Amino acid sequence: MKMTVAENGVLASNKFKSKRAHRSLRPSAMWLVMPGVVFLAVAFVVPLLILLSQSFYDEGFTFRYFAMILASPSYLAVVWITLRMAVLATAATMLLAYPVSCYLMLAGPAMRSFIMALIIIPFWTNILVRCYAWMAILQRRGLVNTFLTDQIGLIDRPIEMVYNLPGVLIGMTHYLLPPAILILYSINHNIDLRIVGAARSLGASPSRAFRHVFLPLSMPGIRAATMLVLILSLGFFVIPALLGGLKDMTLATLINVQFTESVDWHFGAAISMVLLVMTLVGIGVYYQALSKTKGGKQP
Amino acid sequence: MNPAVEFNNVSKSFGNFVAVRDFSLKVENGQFVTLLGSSGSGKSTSLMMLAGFMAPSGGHISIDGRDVTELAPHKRNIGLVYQNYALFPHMTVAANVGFPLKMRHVAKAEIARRVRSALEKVHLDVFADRFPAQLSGGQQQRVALARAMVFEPAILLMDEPLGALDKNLREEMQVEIKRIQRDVGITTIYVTHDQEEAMSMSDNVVVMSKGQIEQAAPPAQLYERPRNAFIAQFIGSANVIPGFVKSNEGAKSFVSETGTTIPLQMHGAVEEGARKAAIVRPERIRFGTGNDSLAVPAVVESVLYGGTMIRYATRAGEQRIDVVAVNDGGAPRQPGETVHLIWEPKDFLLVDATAN
Repeated sequence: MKMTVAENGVLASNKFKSKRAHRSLRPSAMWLVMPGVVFLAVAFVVPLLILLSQSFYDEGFTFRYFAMILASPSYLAVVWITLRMAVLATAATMLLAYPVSCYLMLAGPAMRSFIMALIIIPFWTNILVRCYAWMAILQRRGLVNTFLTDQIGLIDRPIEMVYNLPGVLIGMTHYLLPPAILILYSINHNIDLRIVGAARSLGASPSRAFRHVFLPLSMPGIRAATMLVLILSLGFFVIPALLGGLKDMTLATLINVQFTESVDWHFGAAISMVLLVMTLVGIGVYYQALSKTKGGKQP
Repeated sequence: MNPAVEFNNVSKSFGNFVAVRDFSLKVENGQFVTLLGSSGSGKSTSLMMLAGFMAPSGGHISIDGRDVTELAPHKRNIGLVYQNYALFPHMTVAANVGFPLKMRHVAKAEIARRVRSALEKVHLDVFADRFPAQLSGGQQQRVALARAMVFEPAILLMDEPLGALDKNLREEMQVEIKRIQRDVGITTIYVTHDQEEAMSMSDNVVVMSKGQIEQAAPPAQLYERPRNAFIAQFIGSANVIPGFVKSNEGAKSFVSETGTTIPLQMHGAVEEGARKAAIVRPERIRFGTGNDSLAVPAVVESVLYGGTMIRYATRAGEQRIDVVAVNDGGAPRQPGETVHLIWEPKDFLLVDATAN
């Protein structure tokens, strides 16, 4: 991009951008926004506030329900399980998604469209369908185990791959890969590959050009994708419920139990609050990290 | 002594398209050589093959006598400057310039010393701690230049380095690049489509068209002795008059396709009937009088008053001939006025009408 620089060193193009961003909406345009805002307020914000208020109001103001969570090792364990599961799934997803997004940048247009289709088709497939498909593949007498035991006889007894943590992680990673790849690609494809070429001509081997130039330049994409994937994984309900074992109780499944089985709305609301705070803290940390590395962002 | 760079019958094709054909060129140590051509002439492709980013389809490239055709880019010891500068946006100016030294495992203190001296050479030492986005286009280009030379590469390659700058800055940078190149004495291969840039900076200019060399010569020779009509038109402006040579009782003359006869002198070696193009530069034509036996009578068609120069379009018979005259303060000729065009015999060239 060609940049024009004003005398004082401020980027003229940035100035232009911020001017546009700060331009206020004209009054007439507000009417177009109102229906959506009203709908969200009535159908989402108000019920959410009512629900969350139940976590500290039960015939009077109380911290009883939060105390219950903090006092019980089994509830704290659920928080820990949720967090650990989300971090593991995020790590697995990012490790798999990053090379694919890089390959998409280098592939020709035909190959890129083909791979995009492979990424987007599962993205459109219902999560329940995907869970049952994984069950069929991973269970004791599923595709993988039958192949390993009966067909090639590599192992004597089937491997436990589902109704446990690995099962949940496989399902979650599969679910999270398409959005992760799409975000990484959409941000990283702006990187000028000639810059990597410049690094090569200046004496960097392919691996060092990647490490010193491409990787740092792709960090904004990595950060954005990691955060989105992490936030999504914190709230997973269907996958842990279907592919996990009894031990793999997450906050989302616990909330479901409170509302539908125990019918303890106050306690359910308190757990919802914990999950919401965890997610908001995650987002806060993310924006903090983003603002710190502004200097390293590509102009 | 080995030439600094040698292309030996290098070709490159993409599918059926031949981008570079039988390209052979020797560049001597310390020379500034420009590959000049319009887009698609194969100049950038040749440069990218030398840098190692494209493999030739045929032929060999050597640097200082060593065959590098198969060598990876990072082992070629070449400094490369791109049109878009290709600075690392996430590194400071000092880190950008230090990058090639870091890749060569130079000690930290030594890196700092050499970066400082490289930045001093391009007058940017005060900007060492800034990021590229905080610099102007010309400053970024000088950072790219410092980065490409700090590791003392065998050759410096520049691919349209001034293309993104405005005209004034471009002229300033031409002088700057030439000064630095002369100070350092580095062999430089420069790619551009701007013939003025090529002429003013280079020791040798290689004019390329359709993947082939049309002519490789020092700038003055290219201008004064173009090998064919294509070169004459590409370098500066020229009256190109297609036609043939006629002999009448020992006196030779040139007859243009439009039927205008121009008397010849000192063109003894030219065979009669040969299809040629006559080249005469507009600024080498003067207005004489009808008494001059070699004068070509013409009628002024239009006058463009340009201050320093006055441009005339004249017609000799059916043949259009442009004249550029220095504004000497006299009254300009008027449209419709009959003039007599004269020139030195050496300025009237007969060349091949077609390109390679």
